Amino acid sequence: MDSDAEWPVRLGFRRLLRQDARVTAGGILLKLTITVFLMYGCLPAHGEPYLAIKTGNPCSACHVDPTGGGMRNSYGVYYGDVELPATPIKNIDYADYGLVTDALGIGSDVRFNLDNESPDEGEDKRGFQLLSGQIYLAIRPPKVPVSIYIDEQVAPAGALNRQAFIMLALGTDYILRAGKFILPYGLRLEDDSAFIRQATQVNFHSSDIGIDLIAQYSQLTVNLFVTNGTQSPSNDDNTLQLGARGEFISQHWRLGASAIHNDADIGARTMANVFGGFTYDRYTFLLEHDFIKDESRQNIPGTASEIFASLAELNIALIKGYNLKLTTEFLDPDRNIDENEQTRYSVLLEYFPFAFTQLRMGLRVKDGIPQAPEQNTHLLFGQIHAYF
Amino acid sequence: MNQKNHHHPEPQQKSWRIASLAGLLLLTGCAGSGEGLDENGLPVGNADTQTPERGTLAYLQANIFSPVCSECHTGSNAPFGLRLDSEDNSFTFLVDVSSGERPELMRVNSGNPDQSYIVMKVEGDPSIVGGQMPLNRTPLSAELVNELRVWIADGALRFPPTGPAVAIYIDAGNVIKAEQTSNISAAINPETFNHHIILLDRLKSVDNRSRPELARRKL
Repeated sequence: MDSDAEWPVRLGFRRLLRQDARVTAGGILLKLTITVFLMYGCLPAHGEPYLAIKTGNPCSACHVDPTGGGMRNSYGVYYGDVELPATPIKNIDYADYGLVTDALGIGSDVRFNLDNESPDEGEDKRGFQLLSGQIYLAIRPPKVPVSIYIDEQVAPAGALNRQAFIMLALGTDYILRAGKFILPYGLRLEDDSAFIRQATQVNFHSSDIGIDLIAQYSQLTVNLFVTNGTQSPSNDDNTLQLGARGEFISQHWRLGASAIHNDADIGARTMANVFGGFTYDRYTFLLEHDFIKDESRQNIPGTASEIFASLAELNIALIKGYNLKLTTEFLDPDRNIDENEQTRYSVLLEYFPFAFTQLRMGLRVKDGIPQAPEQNTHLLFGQIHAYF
Repeated sequence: MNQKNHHHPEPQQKSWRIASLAGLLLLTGCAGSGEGLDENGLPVGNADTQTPERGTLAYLQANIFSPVCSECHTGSNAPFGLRLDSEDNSFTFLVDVSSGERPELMRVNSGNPDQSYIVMKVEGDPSIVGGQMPLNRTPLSAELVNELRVWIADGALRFPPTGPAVAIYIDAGNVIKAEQTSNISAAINPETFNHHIILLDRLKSVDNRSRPELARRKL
């Protein structure tokens, strides 16, 4: 990645907009489109995986973290303020509040829930939850190819560092990052409770420490990474975890695969997946299948666990600002054991009424073996999500 | 796309909609019947099918650690290396082990539930780092949290005490004498002791489940 070329797009978008006070929204969009097209050779996109697939762009088009999620870059902020909401922000010049200087950006996400969980047996549980409060910080001194990204969870309860890494731009196509990061693996869903994120243990609460080489070509993104494989501040043995992720991105579809191998002392763990999606008209379809072989988990003595998890998601853009999301999930916690499979179905309505705000409401139905009450629940929830 | 299309989809769009939903349904699996499995989804023949006694690690394993915690805290990639997928692992990685988030606190401080980080995490104590456990899920019931507290207050033993008890005499950290006593009705296996807590006596029952109150001293 060319540091001098890309950084103005990421943190200097606000300045770009201010160059002409009489600029029109159409003119801004044209400039933006041209700039991003020059960067990526395709049209602009953003945040959640379905948005990236819908618009045919890599996650880095909207996020500071090149593997997606967390702090949005200037274009990501623009998209969230103008393109997503039913009522977009009118004064676009002030859209990117988080851009303090060209070298310093801040961002935040806060999610607040009201949940009502109904087990098939037993009493309902309901209550408010401050699900998470995130603060993001991106620092990049001018004229150097190094930048710093920090993702700190500040609520609920005490602060927890999710990510903190150094990014070194190596030419125009490569980034080397070192530090604590969420492993690049499959689709980066926001929902950590999805089977594919829970079973793989790759989610927003399971970052690891290591290095990640990212190659970003026009339609291909490749990650090669080495980490401790412990999800803790230090390694607990002499082995390291190896992983790779590749994704081919087209205008209307994408296809990728990931693999991770952790040859830990307590038992090797190997997992792989294929993922992808396509978009047609108002419909965006996502799919991921994961397979995990874990010698450190032996539900049957002497036999490594073999886990299978999958997700299929259909997003329907109803009208501007409204998205209907349908998902089906499947989990086989151990293929060596019969009749232990679990499913989860979700229906969610996502509404972006205005800039910085998302309202979500939905129903998740979990079905599992009858003798496990926690596997058989209905969760009805509403969520307010504010993002900056 | 114009507004008209939203309200009056073309036949091609209808077909696509139907095909998308059909595709979604085709990828749907079925939940298992649970036949031949225990409540943790394991074959009945592989596990101890006896209902564990309340106040024991086995009870916590069956009701908290296996069904809830081990969805994430399992295997070589368990968060902070904390594996809660079996009684042995739960005991090994919890009792008198420093927490990853607040190393000055033990995950389970034997005899001191208020100073045990796992209790703080499941209760959502303001002093914890990160989120309340189970993460992004409905908190544990007060009843289950109390079971955890009781187990810790009772010394966080690996196995429940059974049979006749012994009295243990210690000098400079070495067991110099262990003798069975006639007036105490609990067996004690010194090998199952936490490394710095010695059970000296069982004085009285404190609740309707006849859970004994334990006298302890630190070495």
